[in-house]
This record gives sequence, C-alpha cells and structure tokens, in this order.
Amino acid sequence: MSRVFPMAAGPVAALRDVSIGIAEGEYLGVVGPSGCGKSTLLHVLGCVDVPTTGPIKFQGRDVSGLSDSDRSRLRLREIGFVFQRFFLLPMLTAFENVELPQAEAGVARTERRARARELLDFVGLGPPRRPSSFRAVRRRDAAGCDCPRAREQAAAAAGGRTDGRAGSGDGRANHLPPDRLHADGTSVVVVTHDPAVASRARRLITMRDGRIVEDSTR
Amino acid sequence: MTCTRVAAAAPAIVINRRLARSAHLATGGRLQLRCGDKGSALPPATFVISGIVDFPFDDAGARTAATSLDDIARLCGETNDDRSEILLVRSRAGAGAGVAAAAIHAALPHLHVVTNEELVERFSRVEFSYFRQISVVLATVTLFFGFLLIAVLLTVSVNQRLGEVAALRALGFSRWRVVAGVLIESVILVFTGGLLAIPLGRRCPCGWTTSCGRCPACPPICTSSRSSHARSFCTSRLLAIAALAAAAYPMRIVGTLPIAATLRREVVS
Repeated sequence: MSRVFPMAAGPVAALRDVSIGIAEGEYLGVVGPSGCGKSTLLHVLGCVDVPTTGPIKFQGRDVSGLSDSDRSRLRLREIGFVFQRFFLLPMLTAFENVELPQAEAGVARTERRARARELLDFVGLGPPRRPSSFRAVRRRDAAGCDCPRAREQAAAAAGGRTDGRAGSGDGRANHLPPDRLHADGTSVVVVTHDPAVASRARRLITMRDGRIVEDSTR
Repeated sequence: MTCTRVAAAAPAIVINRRLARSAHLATGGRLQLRCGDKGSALPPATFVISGIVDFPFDDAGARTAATSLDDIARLCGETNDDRSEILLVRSRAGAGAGVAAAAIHAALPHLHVVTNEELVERFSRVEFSYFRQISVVLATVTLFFGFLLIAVLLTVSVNQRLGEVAALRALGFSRWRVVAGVLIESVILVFTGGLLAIPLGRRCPCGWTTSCGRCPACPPICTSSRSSHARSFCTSRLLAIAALAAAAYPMRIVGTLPIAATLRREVVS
C-alpha cells in the first residue's frame, strides 16, 4: 500500500509500496528517523487514515473501502490507542476517562464501571482522580486503559494497536502499557524513537523514506 | 394677530391683562385685529372690549384675546358651518359607556361612536406599535450579540480541544457524536442564558403594567396564559435557532477534522 499527501509544493509519499502482516498477539516495534512514515503507517494500520493505493485487511476483511462511520465503529470495538500526549479529558476523572469509550460502545453501566475499576487497578491507579493530579507516567497508564477495553468489548476481538511513543524517555519499562497489553494477548504495534522500548518488541521494523528497509524477528 | 387702538363700533371681545396693559386698553375700548401677518390681504375687523379676563391656560408672557367663533370666522374670511370634529359625551352613572355609545349610534347612525375603552384598545394596537418595534429591534440586537458571543466562545473552545476531539475520533467516536457534543454545548450555553434572562424579562414589564395599571394608556403586556404559552414557544424557538446558528461553524470544524493530520500536528506542536 501507499499513502500520498497532496501538498502545495507537490505530492508527498509518506508510505511507498509498504506490505506488512501482523499476526494475532504479535508485539511489533516500528523505528526509523523522523518523517520516515512511522506515524502514517500506524494511522493507516489503526484505520484512522486510509491508504491512497492498496488494501488494508483486518481479520481477513478489506477495511480500506469502509465508510467513515464503519471505520469509527471498527476502531471503537477492535482497536485502541495510547497517544503520546495522552489526550485524557481534563474535566473527567481517570475513571470516567476509561469509562467514556465503553459508554460510547454501548457497554452496560455496571459492566463498564466494573471494567474501568479493574483496568485502573491493573495499572495501579486507585480511587477516581482528575488526570491533572497524576504524574506523566500515571496519565499514560490511564490513557493505556483504553486499549484493553477495546479488546474486551468485542467478543471476537483480536487486535489492539498502541502508539508506543507514550513510553519514550521513561525508565520504568515495567509500567509500559504495551508490555501489559501484550502480556494479555493483544496484538501491539509500538512506534518509538527509544531503543529501550523498541528492544522489548519481538519483531522490529525499520523504516526510511516511506519504505520498510528492515524487518527482523528475535 | 396684530392689534391697534380704534374708535368705531364692533363685535365684542375679551382680552387678558397683559394685552390690556401692553396696548393700554380698558373695558369698552376698541381693538382692531387682522388675521395673519401685517401683509395679509384680509381686511382688519374692529372689536369692542367687553371685559379683561384671566385665561387659566395662558403662558406668562401671552397676550390673548377671545371672541365668538362666528366673529373669528368673519375676521379670517371663513364660513362658519357650525360643524364639530369631536363630541365628548358622559354616560349616566350606572349605565356604562357601552350602553351610551349604543344608544347614540342607534339614534344617529351617521355618527362614528367609540367608547374610551375602544379608543385605548385602538391606541394599543396602532399608536403603541412603536413600543413593539423597539422591543423587536432590541431583542434582535441582543440575540445577534448573544449568538456572536457563543459562536466565538465555542469556536475558541473547539480550537483549543482539537487534539482531544481527534483522539476521541481515533478511539472510535463517530463524526456525528462529536458534532452533537458541540451542538449540546451550544444549547446548554444558550438555554442557560435564556433561563436566567427570560424570567427577568417577563417580570420587568409585568411590574411596569401593575404599577401603571390605573393608566388606561398603558399597553397590555401581561395578557392571558394562552398568549404567554405562545410567547414561550416563540422564545424557545428563537433560542434554539440561536444555539444552532452559533454552533454551526464549530460543528463544521469538528465535523471536517482530519484525524491523522490533527494528531500528528498536536504531537509535533
């Protein structure tokens, strides 16, 4: 697949003839210099963006031609993100932040509350507090709670993707949400500049100029 | 009118003290009057002063003279056809103005008979319409500035939360869900303002009507409950339109937000 952005100075190819398959439960790291197409690849894999050419198959189904609302539904039920900037809603508690996507997915109130409590306990965040009161690593952990909920909501869920840059620059590797997600059997894609984070992935892809130049498995 | 002393027989006239003093006139004297300015083509007429009187509605410096309508008509070259523009009739105690008006109309069908109540009602409908026009203009200006304020507020607020909106979209919130969120914010802002302002706006004119309730010229602002319901419906509709209009641009921003590009921009910035 390829992804070309039309720009004023001429089209820019962020992805060039990229072909990649990610198995269920796989832990994939993506590294490369800035501007090589890592984020674009993540957005396309996460169905946030659509490729200019080529198909995207999710569980064997071509999702590149889905409508915006169908892609939203797919993301809501099957895919999760941990953003570098977390994007937690500051007016809500961490508990409510975790509960919110589940409410959007139509999970019953008692069920989603129990699940939110379980997820916050899982990352070590206890009573409901405002995200602003957390240190950065705690905010990331709260944001990471969105990922397992995606898997839990759908009965046949199989994949979750995480922007692993959330963990960059943090020495407490045992707190990284991708590790926890992967330990739980979720497929994880981590985009990072941090070699320590990248080293935890079993499979590592190196990108340059919109192409995959190296694909290694350890 | 201009006046000078004359010495000839003429119709009677009464004058006020100031005129008598300034022209050195006394009862029995004669006064020549001309209709219009000095250059008027009408001939002057001579009057005999039959009395020096006080007119209750005179200004302090007024020089006033009064004579019969016939003599005034002769002086000014008009024919007196003895017609009245308006006749005021007082009804008998206990009979009521409506009964009197009906009786007059039955006796003299060519007369246009109206009671005070009918006259006031007509004033309310026609003469006081400018009150309503001013109200409409003020309400429109207020609504427009309210719309502008909320539109700017929402636009700024949405622009500051583009990252959050893009994140919610990436997590699977549909386009319509985030657009509806902005609309709900607008509705809450507009209707909260309305809930505070409408009771105040209602109370003021009602108090005014009560305080000047004895004055028949006051337009009836507080009317029946039916018209109150109609006004409430109209107000709610205006508020809903204002909320929708104020949210239109922010909704467009959110609705057309490119998720991937916004996330990239928010992370890089």
